[in-house]
Amino acid sequence: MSASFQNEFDRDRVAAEAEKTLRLIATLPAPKGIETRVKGRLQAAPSRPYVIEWPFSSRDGSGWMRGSGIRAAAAAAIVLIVAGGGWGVYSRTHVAQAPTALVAPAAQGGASGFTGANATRKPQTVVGPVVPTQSTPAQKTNSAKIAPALHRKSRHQSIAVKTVPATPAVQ
Amino acid sequence: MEIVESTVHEEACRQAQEEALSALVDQYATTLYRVAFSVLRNQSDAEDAVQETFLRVLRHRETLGEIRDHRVWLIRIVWNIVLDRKRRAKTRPETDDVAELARVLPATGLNAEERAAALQHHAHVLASVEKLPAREREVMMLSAFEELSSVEIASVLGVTESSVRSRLFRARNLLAELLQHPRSIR
Repeated sequence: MSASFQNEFDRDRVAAEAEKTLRLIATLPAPKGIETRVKGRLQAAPSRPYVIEWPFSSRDGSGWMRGSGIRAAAAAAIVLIVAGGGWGVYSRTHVAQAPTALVAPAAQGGASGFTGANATRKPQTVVGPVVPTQSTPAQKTNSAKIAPALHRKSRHQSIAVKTVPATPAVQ
Repeated sequence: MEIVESTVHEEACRQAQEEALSALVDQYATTLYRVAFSVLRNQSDAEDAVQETFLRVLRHRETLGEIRDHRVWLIRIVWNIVLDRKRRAKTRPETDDVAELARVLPATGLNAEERAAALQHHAHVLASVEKLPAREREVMMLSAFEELSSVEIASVLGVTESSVRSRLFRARNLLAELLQHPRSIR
């Protein structure tokens, strides 16, 4: 108990000694004439940010831009220049008329609208749908001849022919 | 006529601001120098920092009227300037600090031997303070200024008063530990 108290006491004493040093430095007198030197530097420094001035303006504030009439004329000139520039751009711009009708390109590749796109190799595809049309008696005899031939083709193709609707849905 | 009046008014304002700034220099230049010297430990650097502080005030002199406590405000400015300078500058050798202290510390009533011993002690303390963590070191250095209360220190550092107190407590313990057992804390 007494050892820890002694330890605590020593610690406080050492810290207080150290703070004396800091306090000594904190109370050192400033060099003589510092105020004068600071003031001199302040007077030498530019009091306002450097701004490029109009060549005919005067520093005392009585320049030609101080007249209200001239200021109004200058403002009017600026407005005219801006408006004139805007009108110039507007007058040179030709707005394209919206077309009344669109010309669609001619359909290629038959009624389906699909083409081979001039491909050199074309994959074998299934036989397209057969659209039922009103047939003449002569055509009926032809279709009667074709029907057995269709049955002889592969099962897959025959299914395709039967199941594909007349107007296939686009996926 | 209106223009002439406004020009006169501007001129009067400018003159009033210059007078206020001049009064601030007279009143606080010494305090600011001591704050700057406690961190930089170099006379010319500290004076430069004071001049830079007032140059900043000059640039923002329109806001002078809005400041409630000029002293704390100025100390805060100089504090930021010196910390910034210290960060930028390379670490000064310890011998430079001792030489500078020997030049500026009062030597009345001390013989040469006592003076040398005092200088060694101060240098040892300052080296130990440098080893403290930044937050604790800053509070410890500002607390050495008797004119600054803990509320004002909190205002300068931008922290709460309770934070200042706890940092000061830690700083004292750490500093004592460092001085008693120099290799205990790294």
